[in-house]
Parts: sequence; structure tokens; C-alpha cells
Amino acid sequence: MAFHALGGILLFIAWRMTGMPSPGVLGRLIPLAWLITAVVYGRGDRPAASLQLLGISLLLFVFWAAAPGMFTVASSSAMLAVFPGLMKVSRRRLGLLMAVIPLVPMILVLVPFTGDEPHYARITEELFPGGTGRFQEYQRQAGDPGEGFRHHQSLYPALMLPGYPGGITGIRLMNTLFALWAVTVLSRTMRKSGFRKWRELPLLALLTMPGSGVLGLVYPGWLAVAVFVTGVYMFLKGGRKVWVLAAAGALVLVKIRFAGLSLGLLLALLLEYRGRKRLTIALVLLSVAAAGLLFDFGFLGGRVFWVRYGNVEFLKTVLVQPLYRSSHLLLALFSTLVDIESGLLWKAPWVLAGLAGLPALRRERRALFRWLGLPGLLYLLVLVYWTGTNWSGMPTPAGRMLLPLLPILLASLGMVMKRAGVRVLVWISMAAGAVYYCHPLLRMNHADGTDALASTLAGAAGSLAAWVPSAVRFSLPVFLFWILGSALVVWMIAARRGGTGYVLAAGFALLCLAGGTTRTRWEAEDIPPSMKDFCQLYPRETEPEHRKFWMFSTQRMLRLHREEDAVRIPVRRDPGDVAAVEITYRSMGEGRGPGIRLTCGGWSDSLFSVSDMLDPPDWTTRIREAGLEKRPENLGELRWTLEMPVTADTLLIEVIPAAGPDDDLHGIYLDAVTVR
Amino acid sequence: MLLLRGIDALSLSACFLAAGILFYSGPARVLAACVLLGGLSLLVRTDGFAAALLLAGALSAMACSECVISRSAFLLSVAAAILSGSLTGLVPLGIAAAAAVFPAASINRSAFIGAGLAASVAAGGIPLASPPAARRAEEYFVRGGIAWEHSERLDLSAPALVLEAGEAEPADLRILLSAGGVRDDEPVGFVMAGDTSFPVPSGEVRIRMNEPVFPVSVVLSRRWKPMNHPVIHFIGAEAGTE
Repeated sequence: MAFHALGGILLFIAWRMTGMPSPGVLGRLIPLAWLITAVVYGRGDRPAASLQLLGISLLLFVFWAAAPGMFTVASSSAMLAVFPGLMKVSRRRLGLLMAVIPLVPMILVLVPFTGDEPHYARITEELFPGGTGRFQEYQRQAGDPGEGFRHHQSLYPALMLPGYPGGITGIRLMNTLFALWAVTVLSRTMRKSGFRKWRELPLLALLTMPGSGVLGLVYPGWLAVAVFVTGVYMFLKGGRKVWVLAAAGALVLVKIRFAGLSLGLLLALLLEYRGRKRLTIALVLLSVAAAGLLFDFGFLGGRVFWVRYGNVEFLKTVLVQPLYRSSHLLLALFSTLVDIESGLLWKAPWVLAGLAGLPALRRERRALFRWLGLPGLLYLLVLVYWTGTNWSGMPTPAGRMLLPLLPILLASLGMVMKRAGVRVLVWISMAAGAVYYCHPLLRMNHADGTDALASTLAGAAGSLAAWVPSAVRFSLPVFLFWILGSALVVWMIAARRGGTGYVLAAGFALLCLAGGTTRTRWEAEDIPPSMKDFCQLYPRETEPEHRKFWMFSTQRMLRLHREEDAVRIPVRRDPGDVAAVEITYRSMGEGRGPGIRLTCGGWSDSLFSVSDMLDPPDWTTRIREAGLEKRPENLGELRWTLEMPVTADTLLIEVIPAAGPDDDLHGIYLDAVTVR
Repeated sequence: MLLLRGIDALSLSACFLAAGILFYSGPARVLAACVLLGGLSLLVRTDGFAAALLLAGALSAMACSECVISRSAFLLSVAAAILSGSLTGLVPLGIAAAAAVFPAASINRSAFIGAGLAASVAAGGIPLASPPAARRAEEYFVRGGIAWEHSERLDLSAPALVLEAGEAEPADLRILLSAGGVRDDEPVGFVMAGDTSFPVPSGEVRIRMNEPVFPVSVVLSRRWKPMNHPVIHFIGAEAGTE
């Protein structure tokens, strides 16, 4: 107790002495987390890891003003230092509850009330007798099927009713309780299955992404995990099948997205039967599902399923996916692991150990493997199949859609916890978790190929973006490299190979070394304000919803359409050398169109061109006959490759505006510039 | 590493850090933190940031490593990072780090390093990037003028923001700022346009200037002082060209 109390006081004083930013918010919340930990920790040995991390934090505090990103590192390390104490707390009676309490103030104060949260809160308000109208402004949202219909269902908002009188705090606390319910039942399930670390493992789900990313936020993920795991626990405990059926039904009512989980639960239940009984029960379940859909259609006006997902075009889109968009589906599937913005590898590398533990879990705890694994797998497949490359739901907290995979991954992590390299992966994941607790805005990415945390740390000038996989800026070699690299680590842990830690450290160092080299390719989104005059990104809004239905690329572009618009790219060559330049862009205009002019010192060249309109992809014409609008995202890409004598250290890119009417969209849309 | 990055003090510091890691013997968690901080120093492209990460990694590992060869390598890493000149006022820390190589007990080494840090801060304040970082606000054409819409935070780690207007000659400029974090009534910073400067006191500040001379700079003028957290929030600006 004394250690954590003194640690909290020391951090509070150090924060003020060093003049760190945000003294009134983070400068109080982090010491408060330490003080609450002191209270819940009570008597016990001082966690050695906390002391070491506290020392490193204080060291980092002194250097916070060295660069803007340093504050992120310093403040997060102070939060990370409290985690070992929470792990110890979790081993006690009601430990999971106690371990979450220090995190709650951070969530309530720091995380903005945004995304789908207000919309769920609004539905709760409508269900509450005498609602005060505090969420009145959130009436409709994009994706609602029509007047009087929302694309969210009512069961989850109804379960938040007890928290409604407490406003945002109240409904967030209800969601914290859902998460606690989930990890408590998961913990009991693990104890029943004979895990030694049945208390610490579920807590990891709350300290690391993706679980920490939505802990306490108004999203149904944790509730779904709670319902799912409760069904599994009740079956494993006493073979109570009715609980499985209830859980499968409830999951669909919480959100149709969880139908995959329901399906997995029912499949796992079917596998408990043999012979004709299995077939009969399968037919009964199918009949019940069909009756449910008919009941929804006939008696509920399609409120549950049909108004949301029953329109013919959507169903056709889903049906043509495997035939015509199989590469998209494959990309979406692998993105769940390696994509820099939404993949788990970068935010929660412990999942590699989780994947490595699957064979051991299957071998030694077959029932648990089947009951947690089948629903998890089917959920993932349905998610990817149903939503395609939009599976991530950005810009909401990265990885939130993958919450139902946590139980199986945690259980298999428990099987390999003592193997080489696993602890390093867990610690890195907890460090990332601490960053996202302290700086919650870094959890949100915008499907533009850049990760908020990586950008904060690496800045604009490095070439990190070229070395990490992004579904938006797809590069097959980079994707393959990281998939194979991940597979290597998974194999090394699974096969008990020594040296996993060295491979991880070497991989990390090489990535940093390569990412720290001078950038030669500039994507439009990466060009910082210091390198451009006036030009704006298209679309201007960061919200991915605006690019969701772009068919050829969903990357944002830099629009140059006025004489004042310009981009300056640094040229890292000696004067007298010849530099290779490649510019990819789209050009929208009439006649000979707008021109693009390149200038480097006394050298200059220009090119006039207009992009052709692209034809709609095959799969869209199978759904409906529709032409594409003449918009920049539907234009063919132009690529200008040339060699340029280097006479200055900057390449200036400007537009030569086309003569004619100045409409809203004409101009040059820069996608990327490479100068080698 | 040197082949890829070229030979400079920070690259040498990273090499010495790597050498220290090879010989390190002590708590694994500190080693992992050292690898993490050292790795990040290769990734970041700001010298001050890289130097701070290298120093934090080397000093924490030096405090915990039981191998004197490893500690010597970490000392060289600290020395190279300090000599790079990317951070201000770290000579006392360098001397204390040299003394911290020899004690056998971790607590004594930590005490030396702690004393060195305290002496550095007492002598010259917290280490700042040299030269300080200056950012540029993102400008847009809007109907009838130019707008700078993205908010920015100016603190000791990034104390200056520049507003450019290209060839345009706006008739007026309106800037909205919010400043604070100090315990007196003196200005937190200044807005400077040509020869003209406007003080930025604590609180919400609206500055309007006619025929401003670009570039216009918003500069945090406070130095480090204990119990002070000077900050200027640039909320936005508009310039009329018509």
C-alpha cells in the first residue's frame, strides 16, 4: 500500500516539478490511479516491476520537452508502472473488480463520448420513462435504414437503462460492469478448465488492446463476450444446454453482427450429439431460425433483421463477394492481424502467442478449445464476409470488432505463457494498452493508411509507412512479409524454439532502422503542412464513411487547383545528380485539362492531361445497372515518370489551372510522389 | 547501423547502446524497456527526441546492469547523446553517469544518476530540444480569405507555430488563442508579425491585426520553471483578402 501511495505522490510532484503538460487532467488521473491501487492493493510485497518502471518513468519525465512525442511516452510509462500492481490485485478475492477500479476514472474523464456511443445512449433514453432528452441531438445517423428504424437494436440499450439516470457516467459504468461480468465468467471458465493463471489472464484482456480500447465505452462488444462466455461456462459446468440456446438467441438480439458467435455456439452444441440426433437437432435449429426470420418479417415489420440487412441489393452484394471480390475478402481477413491501423499485431502483439497456443489448447483442453474456438472462428468469418474491407468499423477504437476472439486467444495464451518470448509480447501489449488509456484519441484511426500512434512517434519525415502493411495502401510484398514474419514467431513459440525474444528484438530494431531512414515516397496524406501551400486533402473530412463506397482506391488525395496550391518535396541528392521522379495522380477537367508543373531550381517541366473515367467493376453490374458519377475517385490513375537534373534541394509541384468554368471538383489530385 | 544512417553522434550513441545491451545482465524488464527505447530512437526523425530516448534507455539500463562492460558501453552511449548537442544543459548528468559506472550496488548507481539529473535540471532547467521545434499551421483558402482551422498545442516541446499566407496580402488577421499554465500575470507568449508583436496573456485571447506581415509566428516565451506548465492553444485564425 505504502509503495503505491508514495509512487502516486512522487509522480504528482514530479509532474509539477518538470512542468509536464496537462497537469490538471493526466497529471492528476495517473497519480489517482496509483492512489486507488494503493487502496485496493492493501498489504503485500512491492511489485519489483512497478519500481523499475517507476524509475524509468521519472527519468522520462525529465526529458518530456525534448519533442512533442516524448510526453506521450513519459505519461504512458507512468501508467504502465501501475499495471504489475493490478495484476497482483487480480489474484485476490474480487480481484478483477478491484483491479478495474483504478482504470475507471481514466475512462470516464479522458475518452471522448463519440462514435456510436451517443446513438446507443439515445436509444436508451427513448426507452427510459421520462427521459430528460440529454441525448436528443443524436436523432439519426448514417446507415439507419429509414425513418423510424435504426440500424442498432434495442436489447443492448435496454440493458443500459439502470445507468441512464447517471448520464454518460452511468451508462459507461454499466458497460464496465458488462466487461467485468465477461472477465469474471471467463476467469471461472478457466479455473474450471484447470488453468493456473485463471485470475491474471482475464485481467490481461482489460489491460491490453482490443479489450482495453472499449472497456467502459458504450459498445456492445463486452456484453456479447459476457453472454457468449456465460453460455459456454454453464455448459462446461453442468452440461446445461438451455443456457447455450439462450446465449445464442440473446447474441443475435444484442447485435446481428454476433450471429457468427451464435452459429458457433450452436455448432459446438451439435457436436456434442451423435448420429440421427445430431441431424434432428440441426433441422430443429434451422427451423427455429427460419421461423424467427418469418416472425420478424410478418409480425414485427422486419424490425430485427429485414429492414437492416434484408434489402435485395445488400444481399446480392454479400452473395457476389466470394465470386468476384475474393481478393478483398482475403485482404480483410489478414488485415485483422497485420493492418497497421486496425490489426491486432501492432496494438496487441500478445495475440501471436495466443495463436501459438492453439495447438496446445486443442490437445490438452479440447472441450474449451471447441467451445471458445468455433464461435470465435465463425464470428471472424461472418464479420469479414458480411462487411468486407469495412470490417474494422473505423474510426471507432481499433480492434473493437475482434472482442469475441478474446476468450479463445486468452485461453491459448495461458497454454504458452512460460515459453520464450511470450512475456515480452505481453509486456509490449501492456505498454501499448497504457498509451491508449492515457491518450485515447490515439485509438482512433481513419482508414487513410496512417496510424495515429505511429505518426505521433515517427513523425512525417521517416519512411515507416513504406514498411508496414496497410489495407488502404495495399502492397503485396509488405503484407506477405508481415504475415510470414508473424507466422515465424507463432511457429517459434508453438514449437518451443529458443531465441524468440531475440527474433522479436531484431525484428523490432530492423523495422525501426528501416522506418527511420529518409523517406523517398510521399503519400498525399503524409505530406505535412510545412511542405505544402494551401492545397487540401480530398475528401476534406477524415471520416472514412465518405470513402466507404469508393470502388478503386479509398486513399485520400491532395487537391491542387489554384495557382497558389503547391507541394514541396525534399530532394536528397547532390547538385549535378539526376533524380528519378514518379508522380501518381488523377486529373479532372475539360479539354486538355489542368497541367502539373515540376520545378527544381532552374529546371522545370509540365504535363497536361485528363484522366479517363473508369468503368464500374464487374461485380457492381451484377447487382444493378448503375453508371459512375464523374468524381475524382472514379478517374483513372495517371503516372508520370521522369528523370530530373538536381539543381536545388526541393522539388516544387504546382498546378497550371485549366481555362474554363471553375467547377467544384476540377484540378490535380495527387496520390503519391517518389523522388529517388 | 552506421552504413544505413551515416556516422553521427546519435548513431554512435545507438551503437554503444546496442553494445551495452549485448553485455547486459540484470532485470529482463529493464532490458526490454531499453530495447524498446533504443529501437524507437532509430525510428524518430527528430534529433532531440532520439537523444532523449537514447539517454532514457542507456541510463535506466546502466542503473540496473550488473556487468561493468555493459555499463561502460551505456556510458559511451550517454556521452555520445549528450555530445550530439541535440538537448540542452546535460553536462552534470554526463559527469554523474561517468561516476555511476563503478558502484556495484544498483541503488548507488541509481542515486548517482538521480543526482545527475537533479543537478542538470537545477543548473539549466529540463533538457530542451536544440534548436527548438517550430511547426507550421495548415492554411486553406476559404470564401473571402484564408483560414487556419486545425488547432495546435504549443508547449516547451514545440514552442513556435508559423502561419504563412503565400503571395496573398490579407487586409486583416484574427487569431483565437487560449493560454495558461503559469502562476503570474506576465504574458505566456507573443504573436509576432514583422516588427509588431502582441503579448498573449493567460486566458482566451483574440488578436486582430490590420495588414499583417507574413509569416506570422505564435511563440511560447516562457522558460521552464517548477510548478509552471506554460501552454498556448492555437484554436484557429482567419485572414480576409477581400
